[in-house]
Amino acid sequence: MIELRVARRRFLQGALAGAASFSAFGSQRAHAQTQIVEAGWGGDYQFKHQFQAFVEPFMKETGIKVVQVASPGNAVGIVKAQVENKNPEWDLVEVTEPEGLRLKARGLLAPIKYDDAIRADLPHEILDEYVAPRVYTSQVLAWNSKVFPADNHPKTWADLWDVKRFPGPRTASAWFPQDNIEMALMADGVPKDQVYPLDDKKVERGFAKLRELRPHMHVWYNAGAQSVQLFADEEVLLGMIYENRAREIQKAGHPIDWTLDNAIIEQGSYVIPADSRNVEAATKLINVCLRRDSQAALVKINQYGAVNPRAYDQLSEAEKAKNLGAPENYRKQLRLDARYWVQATAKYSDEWESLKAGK
Amino acid sequence: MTTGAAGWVVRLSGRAASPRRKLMIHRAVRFQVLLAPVLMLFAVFYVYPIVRMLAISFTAGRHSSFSLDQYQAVFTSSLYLSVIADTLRISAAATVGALLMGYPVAYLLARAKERAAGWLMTLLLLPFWTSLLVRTYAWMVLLQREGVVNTTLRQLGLIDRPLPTMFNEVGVLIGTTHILLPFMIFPIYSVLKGIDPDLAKAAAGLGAGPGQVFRKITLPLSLPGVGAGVMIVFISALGFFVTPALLGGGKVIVIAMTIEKLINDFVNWELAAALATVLLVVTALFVVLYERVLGTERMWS
Repeated sequence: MIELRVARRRFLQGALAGAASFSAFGSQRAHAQTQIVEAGWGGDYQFKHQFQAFVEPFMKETGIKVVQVASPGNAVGIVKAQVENKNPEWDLVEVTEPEGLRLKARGLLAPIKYDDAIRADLPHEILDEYVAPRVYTSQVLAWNSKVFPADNHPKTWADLWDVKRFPGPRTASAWFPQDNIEMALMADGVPKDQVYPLDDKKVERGFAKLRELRPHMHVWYNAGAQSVQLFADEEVLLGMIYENRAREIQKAGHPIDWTLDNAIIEQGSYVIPADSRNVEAATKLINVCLRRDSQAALVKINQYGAVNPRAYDQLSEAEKAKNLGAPENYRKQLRLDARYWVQATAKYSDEWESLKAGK
Repeated sequence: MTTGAAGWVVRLSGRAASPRRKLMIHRAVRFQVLLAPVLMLFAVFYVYPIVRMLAISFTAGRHSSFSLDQYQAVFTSSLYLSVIADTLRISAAATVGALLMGYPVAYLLARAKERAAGWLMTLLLLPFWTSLLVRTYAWMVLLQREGVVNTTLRQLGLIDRPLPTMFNEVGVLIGTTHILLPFMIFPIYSVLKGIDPDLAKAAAGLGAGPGQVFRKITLPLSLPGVGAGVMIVFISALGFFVTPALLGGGKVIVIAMTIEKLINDFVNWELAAALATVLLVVTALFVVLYERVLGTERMWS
């Protein structure tokens, strides 16, 4: 036993010494170069488009290294775990606006300082102290353009409910009641500018309308990539899908078209987890991302919607024509009221799950 | 854990030590020392998280004191109760399906000649080693509207509209059963293989037909394997996530999906912990029930 104890002690000493030298090595490297970890939604969107538009220029300008990682799931739970366990691995996280506001409400975020140039360019109401805008995306009505060719295609959300004129399996996102309720209200005849402010009565009306559609709903998709596969394989013929995903399907050569009319436009956001060791560097990256040139690059590279309106000064009419963030197109859409859903989602979560399950 | 082993030594060595006893002590100590790393690993990565999860489930929010709110929410919500019921029903159906398909395969495997058995085993193991996600997607490719099965059937003129085999409970059942099938086959196979072939010969020699031999000899002797397979498949199915999430089309909701949704999307970890605890208790109940009926040592035989 004694021998064993000694052996164990030696082993522990060895292990500790090893760990110490390892962490010394780590901190030496950290001194040599600041490095931030950016967690995002992965794919070309993060590693190609965003990288080219502002991550690479940022690294060249500042000498700060950005390590891009794809979040293995919804970032909210992971950020919560990292902050509460005092283990902030991520310095900058890509989230939807409601997710960002949800993290903010729980005190899990660090405040963001915007540069004066950014404050001058962007509308003040979207420059939240904790949830930075990054890019616009939009939930659009899309259809298979081979099955529903020119002019005989669905044009409004109401057409998604018209299973006689536009037969075929349908899809919509499974995550939250948000988007779906707005879509249902517009399908039920509520004009775009009267959807908000939402209240219990309107939301219930939306749920009732969704229950009508439910039997024709082939899949509620749980991942953006899944919505791509559904349209590409012609497993669904029409439905609600993110515009950049629809664009991806079109680029791959599959028959799909969509409309920006009454689409639900929403803000992709950046947040910095509280306790991040690199708040300053992460803030710098946010400010670079929001600059006119970076935002214009996002439009040029893959037609994302710019959140900096002045970016459109640098773009041609052709580049603006179909871009969802361009002023003429922005006006056709409904801007998601993320603040409403942050406080209302919990209340409707059970009803939402029951609706999908048909209970 | 090692202090535990040291305590053992003190207690044991206090007694009069015959040479035989000394040997036993030696063995006991060695056994415990060997076990220590595993126990430590379990304590850190298994017991601790479960205890923490249990603790969270008895609170009503961050930094709050003891509360039964979460359990009240689970047991008064028609949604969660029906999700639990659906999960039990789907798991039971997948278990029955795996048993009906798995037993004949295990039987064939145990009776086949060595070469044939080797090939059969390879056929079983290849998909078994393939990622669960890949196998789930493979079923999508096969069963979706424009998938291999529906296209072929339509070209043969057997159907004029696609069979609804995917993005509903049927799809979930097919996927779950297929993925868990090897867990049914292997325990049954190992028990069947251990049955003395002379028993069957003796029965036949006494005039029993093949059906009778199977009913009176093989089947009863293979029951421990069946029990183990049923238990492993059923318990695994209770916690299934990826397959129902992908093949259910968002319309089939099982308990693991609800837990994930509460953790990630609705950020309600307290309720998620309560649901996970309910799942744990239900699983434990089935293990206890099994032990009462068949005995634990049989489960791992």
